[in-house]
Amino acid sequence: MNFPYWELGWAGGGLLIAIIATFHVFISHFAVGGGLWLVLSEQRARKTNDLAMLDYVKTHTRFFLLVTMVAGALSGVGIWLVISVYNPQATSFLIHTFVMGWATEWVCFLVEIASLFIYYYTFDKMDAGKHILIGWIYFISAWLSLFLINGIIGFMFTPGAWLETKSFWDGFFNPSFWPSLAFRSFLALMLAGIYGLITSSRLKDDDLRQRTTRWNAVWLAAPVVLVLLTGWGYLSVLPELHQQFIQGGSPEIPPFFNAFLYITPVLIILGVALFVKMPRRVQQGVSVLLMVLGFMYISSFEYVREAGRRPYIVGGYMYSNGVKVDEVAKVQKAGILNTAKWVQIKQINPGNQMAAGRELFNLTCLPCHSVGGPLNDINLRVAKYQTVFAMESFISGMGKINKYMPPWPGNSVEKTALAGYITKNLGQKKNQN
Amino acid sequence: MDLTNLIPYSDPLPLSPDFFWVLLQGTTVLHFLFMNALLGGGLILLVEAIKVRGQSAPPPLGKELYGKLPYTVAFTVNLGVPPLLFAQVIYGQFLYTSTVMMAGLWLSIFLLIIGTYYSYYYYFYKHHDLDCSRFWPLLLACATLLLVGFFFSNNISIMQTVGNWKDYFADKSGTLINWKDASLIPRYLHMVLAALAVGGLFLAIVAWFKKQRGEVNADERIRVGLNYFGAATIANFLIGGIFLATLPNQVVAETFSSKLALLCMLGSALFGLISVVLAFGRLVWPATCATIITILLMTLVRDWVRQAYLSPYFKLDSLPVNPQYGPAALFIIVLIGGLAVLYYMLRLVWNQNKEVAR
Repeated sequence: MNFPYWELGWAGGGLLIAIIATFHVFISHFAVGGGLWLVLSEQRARKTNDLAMLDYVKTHTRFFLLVTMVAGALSGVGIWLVISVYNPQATSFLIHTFVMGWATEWVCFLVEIASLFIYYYTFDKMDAGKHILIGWIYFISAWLSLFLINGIIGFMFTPGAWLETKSFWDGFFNPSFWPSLAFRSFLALMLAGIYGLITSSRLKDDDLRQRTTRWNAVWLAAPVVLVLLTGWGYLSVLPELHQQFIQGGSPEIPPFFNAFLYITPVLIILGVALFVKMPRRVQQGVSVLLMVLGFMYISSFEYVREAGRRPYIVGGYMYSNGVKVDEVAKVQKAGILNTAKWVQIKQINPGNQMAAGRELFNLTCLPCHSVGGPLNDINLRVAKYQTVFAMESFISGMGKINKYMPPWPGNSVEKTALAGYITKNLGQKKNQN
Repeated sequence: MDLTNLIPYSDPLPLSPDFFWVLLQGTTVLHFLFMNALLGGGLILLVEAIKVRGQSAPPPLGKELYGKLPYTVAFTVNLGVPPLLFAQVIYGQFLYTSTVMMAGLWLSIFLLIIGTYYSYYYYFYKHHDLDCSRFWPLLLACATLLLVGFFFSNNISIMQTVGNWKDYFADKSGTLINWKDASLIPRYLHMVLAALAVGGLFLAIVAWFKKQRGEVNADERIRVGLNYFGAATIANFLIGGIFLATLPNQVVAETFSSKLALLCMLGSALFGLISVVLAFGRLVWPATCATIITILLMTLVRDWVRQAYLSPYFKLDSLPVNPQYGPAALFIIVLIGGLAVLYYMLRLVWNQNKEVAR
């Protein structure tokens, strides 16, 4: 209500955030787990004097560099850019509250970049001990990046004592901080194995391929079990209402939650199966399949986490439409149109009812819904409400009957205008089409 | 329409705005140096590649320039994070607003830079195989960077010209370009020419290190680099003058009513001139020092101009503050630790290179 909005329509409902964020987390977790993979693989190769393995680690480092440093780093910036245009209010709040956390994370990112370049460009040139030390510096700085970002992301779901104290530390070390950190760390190790299989399955030397494939299979299968255990711990620290949403109370989460649960044993089984000697083509096929499953696995988790937070964007503090919890009553009294800065219609009259309804739709619905798009399509959600009265009744029940939606923040005249706009232009239009 | 009503309120800052202002200026200078080397280096490589286009000649200017560009992208992006972060803290209510108005263009930035990055890497690994057609990845890298630069200029332009904000109501598609701002194009060209100049200097610096190792072509590359620097800087005096002339009178008058701002402006022009003289005298490091001082002073003036633009609606010292010192202490400790680790790693590399040279 404080900022202008981007009228997206089809791509609304956070579609672009979902695309960029899932792409990013799939790479950024690899950037952490893969860092440990690099340094431990190098140590192992040097200890056993396995020059072929060492050469493989070097080749994998180049792949790692090109994936994490380019697509990974840039998509991370992409998330920042996209959230600031989708929800500037929440982004501004997060930036101002945690600016020093973000700045500290930037230092880790700087060390990460420098150490990875040095690690790659000095692979055959630097003394082994010092080279391994550089590898450890990379991994530690990458994990510290995860540590810092995890605190801020966790805060959005479970702000805990921050709601009372407004202290940075209470927000950062929030109730889900440690379970989430453990969960993400094991997820990162698992992804290191999955990405490792992509490069190892391409090796032409049969013996080396079998050895490296088994090494990567251990990285994949062992952490998955821990991912499941820590995931359960993570779920258990969430507020009860959100646990219910995730386990079936919300209309959109269950398919993603189930996908996460069902993919877990498949990953373990395929990881164990890779210990069996297989032809190169089969290993390549399984590796690609694991990559796809790994992407679905982490995407489903991120979707559950994002959607499970509703109706809030910051738990208990700010609703997903950008209205703060303690400001709802004030906005209801004054009206949305009178509160919002970036609307041209301030008073509703019979001549501007539809235009006002559209403004209200853009302000209050568009943050979570698309219009005819693949994510949270409003047309599908409102198709069953054929009359203004029915639509108004639904809006009145938001936050009470439908607890995954925020309470209606406007007054009754605005509610009628919005209901009129929706029934005339959205659900029915879709049905007619 | 009262424009003041459109301006969003600011969230409270955890420390004094002055603290963030200093961090903003310091990190902006670092980002400008890397960004200029990246864009300017790419443009110079492109021009040199066009000169030998169609010939199966060795890549112009050698590995010393193109070999550095991929990781210059990484550091440019990394060093771009803190200025954007601190600018959002101080000027967030203006910056988020302008960003939403050009949201579609703004979002394309990270995709364009991925294009730049992979183009430079492609050139790095494949320039021998590409032979006559290696011009294309360079063209793609430069085109994407030039677009990104324009989008940044556009965002800053929208942010500062609050009077044009009502254009948003006619177009909410997130593709606003602030053509009404007469200073938009001169501002952009001023940045591009500065990049070309620093790109030349970057080439000269890299070649200077090669010269210390006894490379035969190094002197020629120092000459080429400094010539680019000198010519682009001279041209930038003209564009900079036009840029200044297109600023609103109120902004110029208010900015330079401060003696410090006037002194910095004159100082930047003086050091710019000195850097050109030093460059044509083939003095790489003195020219570099003069350039860094110029960029530092110009960065300060740039921010004061911004504050003059926003002065009817904004005062730095009127931002709300809810002080929390612990997180800042953490940042400073980690920053010192991080810089120490960087120094240690660079020393390892330096010693390694010395051993290899022996």
